[in-house]
Amino acid sequence: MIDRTQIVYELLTASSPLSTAVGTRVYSPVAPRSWDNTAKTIIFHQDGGDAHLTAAHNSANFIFKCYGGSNLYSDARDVFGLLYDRLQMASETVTSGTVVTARLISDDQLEPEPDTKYKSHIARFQIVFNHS
Amino acid sequence: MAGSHSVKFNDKTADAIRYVSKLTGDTLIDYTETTTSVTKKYAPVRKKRGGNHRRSINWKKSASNVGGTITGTKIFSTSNYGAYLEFGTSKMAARPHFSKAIREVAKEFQKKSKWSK
Repeated sequence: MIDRTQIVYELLTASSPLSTAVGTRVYSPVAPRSWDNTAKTIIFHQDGGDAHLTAAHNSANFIFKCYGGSNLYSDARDVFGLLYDRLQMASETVTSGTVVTARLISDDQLEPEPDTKYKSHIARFQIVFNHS
Repeated sequence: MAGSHSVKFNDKTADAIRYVSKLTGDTLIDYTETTTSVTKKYAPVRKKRGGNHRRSINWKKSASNVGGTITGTKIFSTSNYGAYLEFGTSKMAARPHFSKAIREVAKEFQKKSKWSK
């Protein structure tokens, strides 16, 4: 059984304009206690998934929350832009597995978080993986 | 031999559209009510004095056609923190209940459908 969260992590932290911006600040399902939104960050988790009956593929929806490392919403949206460029139609093999394709389902601005007041941009992607 | 033919077209298209429209609208309401109820079932509830978010989950008509048949519905909560429960925050893990209910009920309705394999 493949570890889809690990595959997504490896994809997002592999060399790209996105990884230049967020580095290894890609967390799932929540940020570490010490994290304080002073640098661009992505926090993601899986939301549902299924396997194809005949093809050797399975797919899952992932929710990504993009934080800009500041109190400006535009910075959070910039991180989303980089995420979109990295994931949309991605077809790539990383150490833990292969992403066959990915597509954006929806994205939106989130109200500031009630506990931290951090601003973020949220996106839902469907990602298709190879079984092995 | 001379003759004439008269063809009378008994147009029932409008009736058929009304029938299908009603059937679709009824199914949509059934689907929405079921999904709302399942969402409430999965909604996270705090142990002490909890249940505010669960109670606030409801649905409403969001679109209808000229005949008045419902063509769109919306499931929502008025607790003001439903999105944070559903998607989590940077410090709090998500507790998906809307999306979980939608997936579950959609599968159930797909099975019930006459046209699905």
